Amino acid sequence: MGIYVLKRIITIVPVFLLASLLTFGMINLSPVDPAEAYFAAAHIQATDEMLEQKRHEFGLDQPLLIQYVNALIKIGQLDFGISYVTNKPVWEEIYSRMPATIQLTIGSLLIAVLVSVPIGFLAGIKKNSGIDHFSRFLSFIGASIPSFWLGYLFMFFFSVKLDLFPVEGTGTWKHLVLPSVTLAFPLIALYTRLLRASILENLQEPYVLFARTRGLREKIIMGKHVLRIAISPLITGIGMNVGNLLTGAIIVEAVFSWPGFGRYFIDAIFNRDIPVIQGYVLLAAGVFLISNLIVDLIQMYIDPRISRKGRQYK
Amino acid sequence: MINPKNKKRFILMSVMVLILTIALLGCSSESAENEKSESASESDNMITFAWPRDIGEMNPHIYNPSQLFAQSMVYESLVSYQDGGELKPHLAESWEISEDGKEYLFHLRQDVKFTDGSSFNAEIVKKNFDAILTNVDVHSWLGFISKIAKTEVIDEYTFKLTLTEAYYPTIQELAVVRPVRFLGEAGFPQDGDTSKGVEKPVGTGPWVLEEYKVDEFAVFKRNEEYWGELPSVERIKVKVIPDAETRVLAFEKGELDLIYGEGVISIDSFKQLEATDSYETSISEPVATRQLVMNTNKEQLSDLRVRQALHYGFNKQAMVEGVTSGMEEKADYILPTNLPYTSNVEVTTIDYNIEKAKQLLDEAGWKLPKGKNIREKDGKPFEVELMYNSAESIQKTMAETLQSEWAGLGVKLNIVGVELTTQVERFKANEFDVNFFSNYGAPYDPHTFVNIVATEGFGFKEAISAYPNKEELLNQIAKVKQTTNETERQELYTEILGSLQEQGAIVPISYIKKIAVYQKNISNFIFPANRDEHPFTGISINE
Repeated sequence: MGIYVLKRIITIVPVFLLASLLTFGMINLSPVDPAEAYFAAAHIQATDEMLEQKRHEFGLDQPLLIQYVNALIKIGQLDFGISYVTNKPVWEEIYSRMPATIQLTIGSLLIAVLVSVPIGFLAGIKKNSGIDHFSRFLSFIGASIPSFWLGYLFMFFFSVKLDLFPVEGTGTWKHLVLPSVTLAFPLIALYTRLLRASILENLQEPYVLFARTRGLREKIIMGKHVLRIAISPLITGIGMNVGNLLTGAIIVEAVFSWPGFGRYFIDAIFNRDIPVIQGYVLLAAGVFLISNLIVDLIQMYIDPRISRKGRQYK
Repeated sequence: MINPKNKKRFILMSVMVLILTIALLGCSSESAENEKSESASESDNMITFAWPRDIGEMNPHIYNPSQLFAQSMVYESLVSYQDGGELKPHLAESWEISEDGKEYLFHLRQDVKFTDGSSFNAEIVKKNFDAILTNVDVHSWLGFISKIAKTEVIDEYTFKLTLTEAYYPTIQELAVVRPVRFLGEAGFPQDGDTSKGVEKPVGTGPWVLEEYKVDEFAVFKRNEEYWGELPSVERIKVKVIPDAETRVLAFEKGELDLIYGEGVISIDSFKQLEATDSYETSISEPVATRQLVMNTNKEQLSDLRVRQALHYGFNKQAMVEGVTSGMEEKADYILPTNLPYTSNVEVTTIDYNIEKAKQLLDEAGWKLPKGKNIREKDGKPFEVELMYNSAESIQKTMAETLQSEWAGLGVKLNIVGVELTTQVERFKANEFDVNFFSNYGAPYDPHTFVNIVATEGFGFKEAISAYPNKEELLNQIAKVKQTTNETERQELYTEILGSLQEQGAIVPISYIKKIAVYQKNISNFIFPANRDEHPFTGISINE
């Protein structure tokens, strides 16, 4: 298992390189000059000399290849560079905004799991019942409403009309409810369907019939055996979505004025703050990779057949 | 199957776990504190206001990411820009300008203290000027900075500024929010170079930064020792809300007392809030002119008659009214007439007249061939491109309106949306046919605008190259900055602005305005005359 983990960690390196190359390439394809963007944000009518000087300061007057290699060397030393706009280290800027984003991500992940597991489970074992129809309805809504729109709807009803939660900001647990539910909603839709399908599939497995013939109580069969195995695709789904949650948080953070780094990233895009954009993309890539790794480990623990299978085929 | 009793228990358990987690997540010790301070200060005499961005570093000498309104709350200028362009004494009680227009002697107020207790005097004025001049390149966009030859302390309250050449806008430029505002001694870093940051925000202004949380909020407290009129509200809380719709919802909920700015909420939202009658709304005087700039280098647009025809050929009144729902006003002049030296420009105003437009196009040789709907001259169709900023819905809708209006004249207008920076770049590189532009407004104009027109590399100089009187115009613009005689200056401006407009390459479209929406218990809200300043002078809350 140790070797397996090591192998996985080593694969992170090429993915990182690819991600950095893609971001670097795409930023440079954009016609917008970061030096122009800098002065536009400052409301200054810049002269050519001022632009030239800024470009030099940002290192944009060097050949592209050198710019890229320089950036890579720095990133290798875990230095994402200095933000063009704020003149502070990118890592510091991201780090200071991380707690807010992580709080939001964990909140919505918990909500997603705690809502979708019971609904998906019940919808699966009671196909075509009321709860099954409800889960279907929920999935349609969750899959089709864009999160910014859902956010406004929540704000309008639960905050402006019913006065239950504040519209924006941070501070109390109340501030966290609407943004995390908004962020969790598409996941609830996804996970409910995923679990339901997996349960239905598992009910057809011979081990269920065997358990029944052994005379085990239905509750134990469902709770202890079916759910335990059926939940495995859901866990994969969660792992794949931790990264999605971080990136999906960009929109929710902007809508709810949540002070996380997703919002900071949007500003960076508008300002063509290249070091920040690069730092963010690499960080997101890292989160995707690491969360997938963790999920694999959890799955091995829940269903030991996975690692055993590996050994069998050797 | 699970029996019903267990099922109920299961659901109940899940719901309880859900609630518990949410509660646990939010209940860090830090958040409890916040709640307390929020509820405590809300009962105070405080105005809560929303701004799209974090206020940034409170440093009077830097640009990004500091927000102008916040800098203007803490730091003050020697001169203050008032309605109609009147320049009033502020930290400088009076000033004398030498005959040749090169020497400026400022007599400073003697009763001004910084919030660190130190007094405001010529020494600290010089120290600030010298800090700014260390980074003269960064500030060279502001005309007088690069012309400063010497800064001197004459006595404790007299400061002298010597320029390399006469430059009349100096006094007006001293009213800008950055970089010529004054930081107290305790705010300076060891090496005195403020471009790298300040120790703490020490100013002379009516407000002091009391509490600040990046990306969340900032609270400004009234400066009880302020030398001028004490503000009537005790605190201003600035909430950072990046999304326009969220600002509207937060306002409707009552979490905000005031929304203020340019383009801070959509036109629809403004109209909707206005229609409820539950709030006060107001619209400012013009702050800038939205212009259409035609590139006279393009064959189709090189003829004055064509440019006039295009101006005659669209219903400006209806377009501005329809697109902005009255938030902007139809403009007849290329600069708002409430700026200095702009009030008596004489030009023939052009009113919507489609017949006249067609006639002018015919005269210019652009005829409509039989069976076609695009005019041609020597077999070349009349096809031009209008570039707009794709992020600005007003520009986009106006572009679409012009496209359909000019199609009626037999002119094919292609419209292309680009990012702001691309728009600026293409304008500068003279790679456009028709473009939107707007001037800087108070306290930068009219001199900044005419300067941009006359300077190589900003786009205008190249765009007006077919003007027959171009050389004369450029001479007049060069001259006006150095005039020391008020009457002569006014005459020059009247001529410059008049002929710029008569030649038709710069078409005034509308006057851009600021908006404010506030709760009914707020009174004495006044828009600042300086476009960049904060609007909190005089504002008060009714009990």
